[in-house]
Amino acid sequence: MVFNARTDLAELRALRGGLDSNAAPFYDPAHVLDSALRIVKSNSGLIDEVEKWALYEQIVVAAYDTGDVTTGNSYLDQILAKFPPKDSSRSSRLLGLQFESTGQFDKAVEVYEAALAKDESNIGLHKRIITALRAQGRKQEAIEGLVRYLDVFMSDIEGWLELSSLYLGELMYQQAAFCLEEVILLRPSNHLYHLRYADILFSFGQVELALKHYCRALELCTDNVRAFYGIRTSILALASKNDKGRGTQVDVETRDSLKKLAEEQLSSLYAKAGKDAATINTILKAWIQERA
Amino acid sequence: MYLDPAIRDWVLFPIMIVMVLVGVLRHHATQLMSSMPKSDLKGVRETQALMRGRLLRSLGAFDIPYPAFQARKQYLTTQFATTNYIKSPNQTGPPNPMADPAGMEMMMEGMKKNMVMLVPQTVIMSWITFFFSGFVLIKLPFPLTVRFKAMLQRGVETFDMDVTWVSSLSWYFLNLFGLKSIYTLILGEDNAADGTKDMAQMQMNPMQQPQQDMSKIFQSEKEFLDLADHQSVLVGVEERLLAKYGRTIGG
Repeated sequence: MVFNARTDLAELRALRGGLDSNAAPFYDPAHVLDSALRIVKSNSGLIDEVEKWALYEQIVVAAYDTGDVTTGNSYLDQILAKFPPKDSSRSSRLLGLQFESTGQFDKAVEVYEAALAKDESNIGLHKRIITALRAQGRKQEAIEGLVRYLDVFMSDIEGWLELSSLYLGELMYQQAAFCLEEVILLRPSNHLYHLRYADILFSFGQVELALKHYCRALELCTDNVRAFYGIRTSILALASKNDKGRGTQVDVETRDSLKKLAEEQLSSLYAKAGKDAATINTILKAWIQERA
Repeated sequence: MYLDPAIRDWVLFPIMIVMVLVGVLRHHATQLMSSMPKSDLKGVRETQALMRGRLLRSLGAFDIPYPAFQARKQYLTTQFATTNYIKSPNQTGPPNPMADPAGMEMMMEGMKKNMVMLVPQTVIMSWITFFFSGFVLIKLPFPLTVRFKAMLQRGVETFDMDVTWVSSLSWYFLNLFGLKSIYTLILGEDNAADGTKDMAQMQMNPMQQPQQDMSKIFQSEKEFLDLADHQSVLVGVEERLLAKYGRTIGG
């Protein structure tokens, strides 16, 4: 297996930089753990003292994410020896992670709240408390905590998305839709959020609005397959409810054109996928025929 | 005119080296002294509420459906009229930095930074005037008018010497403005060793009020929000989408 220390280091640096999940690469804990351990153990001149501790932090988090508690603990002890938790909120967060990894959620929350008392606007600590609640299955409390958190940090996209997933778990579709609206306000040109919003709207019956948002998602991202499926499904749902389309915003002609567009584009996209997609193509054809 | 090379060895280079080293020292001293800015929840909430109001007025709001926009607009306009989001609701007029602990800290920080900048400058200037006065040091490559003579040739009062021959104090000033690029090379960007930035800062109002009157800001934000309208981007999205694929309605 070929590995390149420089590219790995660049990836790790990118993962460290900033809270905006749109900009960071995909987080694969096993890969992060692997590459970070290699870099740290190789003792080459690539990293200096300061970056070493940042890499240790990434190792600890990745180790706990993959369940490798021993590695996590050993590196955590080194970090805690150098940066005692009573002075550093970053160390407190890692210490709390250690408690969470062994299931001692109450002690973890204690650690977090003690650290919050000193630095109350630390976003990471707030979020860890809420995830501890969610991991224990205390969903209502997690929702309440998250609502209070978002009352202060209104522009945190991760928080709004987490809240919407919590609401969906409780089947509270309207509230989940509200959260997605906040996210769209913050990132209006991201087609994925429009897709998710459309899915939620469809789920609780607002099919017309869902159709519009599927169209918007397609406008923002050409040939988005999920959006095509969404368009066709919502048109069929509308057709079965209400025939001529009078009194609605979108009349029958437009709907028919959209449906045709969706079907044709889907067929052509999957046809381009080649021989491997033979099964998919047959399924797709059958689906299109089914309720034409 | 011919200058003794000993002047170059014993004055020119030492002054430059001393200034570079003092700059590096200043940079590290500032780093040690600067503390993390403490922010509190209420302050964050205040700024975020204002940002949310602005977001609602921006183009991004056209992507959410009209009822969602209306609901938020109504909520925010009613809330901004109250003191819900304001950090210190009992304040009348601009805040007094003496009373607000965060303001005090900011003033202390500013004073500390000023001290670090000011003391080395004064010390070096007095050192130069004490040791290195009474002779000319360098010849400037660009011509100057006669008026500069008094300033640049302090200590060597002759009548007809060229103004381009200047004393060591002017070499100090030249270095002050010119060593910035060397500092960037040694210390990286955004270093605290530069003398020109603090002079600019000292000219700015040292008693800046960073916390303006919040209720007025919220009031104006509320008025902007009242005027905000909503042109949903969802209107006509179907036609645009079909056009994107080269079709029309009914095609």
